[in-house]
Amino acid sequence: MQEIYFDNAATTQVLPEIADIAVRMMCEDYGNPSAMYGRGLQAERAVKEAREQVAALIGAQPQDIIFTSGATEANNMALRGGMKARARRGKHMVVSALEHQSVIQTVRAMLELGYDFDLVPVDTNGRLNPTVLQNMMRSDTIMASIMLVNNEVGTIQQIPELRRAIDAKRSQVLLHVDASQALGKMPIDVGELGVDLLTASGHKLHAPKGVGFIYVRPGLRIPPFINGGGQEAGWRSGTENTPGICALGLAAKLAREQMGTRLEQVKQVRAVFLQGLKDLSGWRVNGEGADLLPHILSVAFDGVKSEVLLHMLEEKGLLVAAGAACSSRKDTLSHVLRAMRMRRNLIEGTVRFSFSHLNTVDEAERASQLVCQAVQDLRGII
Amino acid sequence: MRIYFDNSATTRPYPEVVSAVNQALLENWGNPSGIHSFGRDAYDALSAARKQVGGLINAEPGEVYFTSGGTEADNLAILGVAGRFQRGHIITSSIEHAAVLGCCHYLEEQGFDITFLPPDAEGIVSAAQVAQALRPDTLLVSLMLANNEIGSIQPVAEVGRLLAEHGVLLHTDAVQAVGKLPVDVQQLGVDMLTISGHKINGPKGIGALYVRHGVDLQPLLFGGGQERRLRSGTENMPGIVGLGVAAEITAKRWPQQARQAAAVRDCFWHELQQLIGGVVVNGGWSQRLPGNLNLSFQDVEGAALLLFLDLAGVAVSAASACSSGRAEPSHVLQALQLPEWRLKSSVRLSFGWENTLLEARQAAKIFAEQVELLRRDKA
Repeated sequence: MQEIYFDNAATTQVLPEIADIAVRMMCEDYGNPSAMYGRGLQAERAVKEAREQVAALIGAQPQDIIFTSGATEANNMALRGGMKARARRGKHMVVSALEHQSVIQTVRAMLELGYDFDLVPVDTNGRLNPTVLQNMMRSDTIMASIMLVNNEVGTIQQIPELRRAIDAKRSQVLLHVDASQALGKMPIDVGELGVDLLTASGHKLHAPKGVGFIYVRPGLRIPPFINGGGQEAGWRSGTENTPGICALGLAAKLAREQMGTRLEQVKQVRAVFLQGLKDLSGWRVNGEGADLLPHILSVAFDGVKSEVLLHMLEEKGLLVAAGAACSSRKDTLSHVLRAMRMRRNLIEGTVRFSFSHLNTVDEAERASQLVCQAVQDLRGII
Repeated sequence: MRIYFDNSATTRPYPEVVSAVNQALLENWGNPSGIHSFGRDAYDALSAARKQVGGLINAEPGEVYFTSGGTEADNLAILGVAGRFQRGHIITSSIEHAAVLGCCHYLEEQGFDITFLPPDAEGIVSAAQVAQALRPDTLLVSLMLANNEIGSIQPVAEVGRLLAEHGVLLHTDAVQAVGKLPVDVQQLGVDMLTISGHKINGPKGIGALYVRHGVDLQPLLFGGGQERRLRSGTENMPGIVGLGVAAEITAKRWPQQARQAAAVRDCFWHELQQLIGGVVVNGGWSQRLPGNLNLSFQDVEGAALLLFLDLAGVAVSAASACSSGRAEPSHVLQALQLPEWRLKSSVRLSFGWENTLLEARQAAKIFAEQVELLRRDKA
């Protein structure tokens, strides 16, 4: 039985050519990029190319990209660094209620350091309202953190509009955008978005786990987060993860070149999957009234417990998730779905299907049949 | 033929490591936090690697926390202890790696008191110095097991015994020592110990911090709560399985590898002394890492020598790789209070188990030629 992997928002399969470059960086260009001799210079050149490739994907300059161990580190660095850089102007930040745990838990931990934050509510479709955001700005607000695409529902936020709303109320507020789910899946231009800090990881984009980056707008300086040898031009110490970095670079390049065709494929897979659910009753797409990234499909099934459904689907070879992977081992209700004011029974019946361009229409058809069957079986039992 | 005598900067991954990484990339690429089979397979690989790393240093698997490398592990240990207190005193040495020194300087700005113990002429800090520096508010001692530039081995076990009576935590950066010395967290009596993957023929971008059961650290990274809440972030699975395999191989082979590195070093040094004069060893001999040699050459500019050697096919470094972009003299050699010429003409050679006696003899010849060229230019 060929398993169907619809959990691409948790992590993605590494593409063979991307794995190849990581392996090459271990076997041939294994020098330390900080070393002065040939082998080190080769590694340094490869890192430079990767920086250019990542920058090109988001409309940035290479020197504005700092590689990290992943999006979690990048988010921690963005928030703590950004707040420290602006600490003289205030202590308050606003954070969307949909943020990933790496943002929420970081700002919580910062309460101890005397910082303060408010969660910006969203509507039932998971959208931030510019006026609401504007009204939450205080005279000591120095930063806002809003994810571009939510990882559980796929909601796309209108960042430029939110940026304008912030600026209209208070100047020089830093805007951080977590683009982990969006990177390479929709056009991103840091200039158009008006962001000061943007973060993402590699493993959501068919690159390996353990690498990510932070974009820092030119002219902005935030304190380093990890102390040491001063790599990454002093921004981020630690010997560079050259296999990971070069793999991320190639992933960025491929995503940029193939964005159109990949997006078409994902849209088709999603459409076929949804079409296959048509005859099933008692379900709805969460956040349907907002712009959604086609890669993520959050469905609430009436009268079904998602954890039971997940296991049934897995037995039949369909791999999906209830919510974010990193919190899947905990028994808590999704903070994202709660923020969208969904009823408890619908939250408990929610399954996230997340697609990649590697998925096929045939998989979508088979998967929809499996879902219909499993949901009907479960409802029959009850 | 190119000769690589910079194994303290980084090492070439074992072929077994490369295959394990490749397998994690192409086959077992699930997210270990996922609850389906892809996630469980990844989780199993994660557990296996934790056991392998624990085995290398005689720790329980549950005491091993994966990080993005030695630097992050050092940061987690030092900032993690400091984060549990508002104020306090920390003791370290003035020859630590930049990761430890950087954290200590940062904490100094935050209002902590730091004592930087100077080494003796051999590059060693004594347990007596630590004892003397202890204060009632001392929280932590961070002392590297072996120095990365001059290879001097510090009396960590002795410090461990001393601190056991005082209830002060002990961290050691064992990045350079692992694979070259016996490293046993029980014998050392340490509470925390830092390992890096790429120094033991594992991948770059991965390391680990050993944290003794019961030691409470403030996390550096907040988020999904991975690594039992101490280190959030999706696990770097290719790196972790690569480090696991490197640890298992190193645990088996290190005594022989260390002997080989020492033999190549001794051969090189013997040959070089036959060929030229005006060269001295920085640091002592008796307590030195088997693969380390740090030399200063009279009437030679270190940076020029590195360049000439590279063109002639020998890769060595000035001090530590991570600071080699800077023009400042090494803080380690400065701490030895060496005269100016020795600071400016120093070269670090770090030999690995893959190096051969033939390479040693060839490199000695090349060194002698290049040094003489430079001296002639100067004269």
